[in-house]
Amino acid sequence: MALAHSTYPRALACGDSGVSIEFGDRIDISINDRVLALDASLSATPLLGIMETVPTYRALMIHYDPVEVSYDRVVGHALSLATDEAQPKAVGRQLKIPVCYEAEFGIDVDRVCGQLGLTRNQLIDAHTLPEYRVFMLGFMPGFAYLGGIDPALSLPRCAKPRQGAPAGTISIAAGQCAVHAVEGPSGWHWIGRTPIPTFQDGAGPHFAIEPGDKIRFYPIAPHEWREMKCAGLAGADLLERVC
Amino acid sequence: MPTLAVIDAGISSIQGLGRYGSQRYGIAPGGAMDRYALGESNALTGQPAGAAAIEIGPLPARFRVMGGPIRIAFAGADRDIYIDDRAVDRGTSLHVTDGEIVSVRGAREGQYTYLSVQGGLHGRDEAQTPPKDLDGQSNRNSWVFRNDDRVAVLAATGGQLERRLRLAKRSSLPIRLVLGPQLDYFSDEVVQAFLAGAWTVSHASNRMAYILDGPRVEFKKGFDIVSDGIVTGHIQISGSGQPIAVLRDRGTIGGYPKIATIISSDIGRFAQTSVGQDLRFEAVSVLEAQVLARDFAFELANLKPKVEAVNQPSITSVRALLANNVAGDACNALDWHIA
Repeated sequence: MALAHSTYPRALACGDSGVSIEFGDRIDISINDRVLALDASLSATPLLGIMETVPTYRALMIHYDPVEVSYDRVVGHALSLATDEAQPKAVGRQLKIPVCYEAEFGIDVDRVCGQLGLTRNQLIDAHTLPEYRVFMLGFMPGFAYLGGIDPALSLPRCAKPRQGAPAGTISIAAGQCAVHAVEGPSGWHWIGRTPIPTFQDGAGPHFAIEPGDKIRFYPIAPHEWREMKCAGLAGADLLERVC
Repeated sequence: MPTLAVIDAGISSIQGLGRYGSQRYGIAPGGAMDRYALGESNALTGQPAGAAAIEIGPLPARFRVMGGPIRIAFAGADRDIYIDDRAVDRGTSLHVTDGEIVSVRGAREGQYTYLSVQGGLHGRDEAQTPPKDLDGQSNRNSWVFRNDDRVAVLAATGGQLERRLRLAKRSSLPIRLVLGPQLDYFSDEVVQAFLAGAWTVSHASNRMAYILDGPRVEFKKGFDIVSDGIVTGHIQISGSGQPIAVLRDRGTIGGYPKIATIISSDIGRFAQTSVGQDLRFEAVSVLEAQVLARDFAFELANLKPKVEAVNQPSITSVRALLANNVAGDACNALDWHIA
């Protein structure tokens, strides 16, 4: 049975082979910091039987093999690391990602500008100014959820999800921003597209963006988008790492 | 090397135990819907219990053997299976020769059938080659078949002896689950009603999730949670109050409250529930579920000793010999016995 602490962190059993270590119930950088810190600690202090961990906004999901390790052992290990004073500080990289905001690349950009009462340039300024924080990846392969968007760009989700958001789409909704790694459905507003392949196929999937990374966007023109797209397809590493 | 050519893919794919390690990037492990049935078909072909095999969903599928002979076996959902025009059984290894067509009809009871090949599947290194469509909908950890796909397999070994295994009978016991993690979104009465409810699997169900038809599940305090992690077997309650049990090709994170989680040993049994068939749940503790998980692993590991050689026709019965034409041209020499 799930432990019913009212204080965080708390452990919630997910059947016999998963446990969610919760640090809060909202989207908040300090909560996500603790999730990523535990993720890093578990990676540095592994326990036999833990198969993998999945950081999300506010909780760390631990997948384990119940034949190898008991629920109590996993929870004890995780909570001892989660409450440890000497937690490692979650360190994310700083990445710069180019985006073309022309309507050809972000089919919703003009409608979004209309809804928000902004010119295209105002929207680009507002979208490229902040430093975003990658909270988690999921929903679809490599789909990155970013926090830190300017509240002036707040829009509810679309009433109906649409199919076929291209790989590289930059979308916004519900006070969040996303980078799409592969083509797929989306109920968010598609305001631009990056030529950078954030997901690379081949021997084992490779994802350019990790939870905890900090991202800045910068605008590029359609011809730059095409040049970078070609270079990316030819294998060039286009992701700028500030540090 | 012989090849299995996909004539009608139906809903078939290559599945083993799934691959872990990429869920933090949004990729679920995938793997066989029913690990026990996978273990049974693998035991019949001498494979390790978790070896990759061909998983055939509820729709019909057909394959042609090219080269060969090869040795195959079936376990899992009950259905008619033919090799050319010859009806064959699940639970027995089968010798299939060059040019023969393996035809698997629609599932009669259950949903997923496993086709194992002696020596294993060698078509494509699962770890190296992703499936062709990267639309984010299909699972990247499995090879989902399309018509005309080809899988290289090993030829059958020389022996004529076939193997047989008494396949597990379908059990009508309740599907066991551990309550939570978001139990605080539901009142006690609602949880009790959920456990007491008669459920059926809806038509709109697949490797990602089974949608359950039954009483509406009411929320105590709204249904929007800040998305958190998902495990196989989580039963989410959608905004409309309908339970959605997520399975092998699930997402990695989700934003609906999860009332309960199907335990790992019962996932396969749950996945084999036919559309429209009655389904009941029973809550167990994490500790009980872990004991059951270990029992399940033990049962899987002990399938091979239960495999037996198929009885050869007894040579004391000449009539049986003749009926089976095993003696062939020698029958004339035995005429006096019959007289």
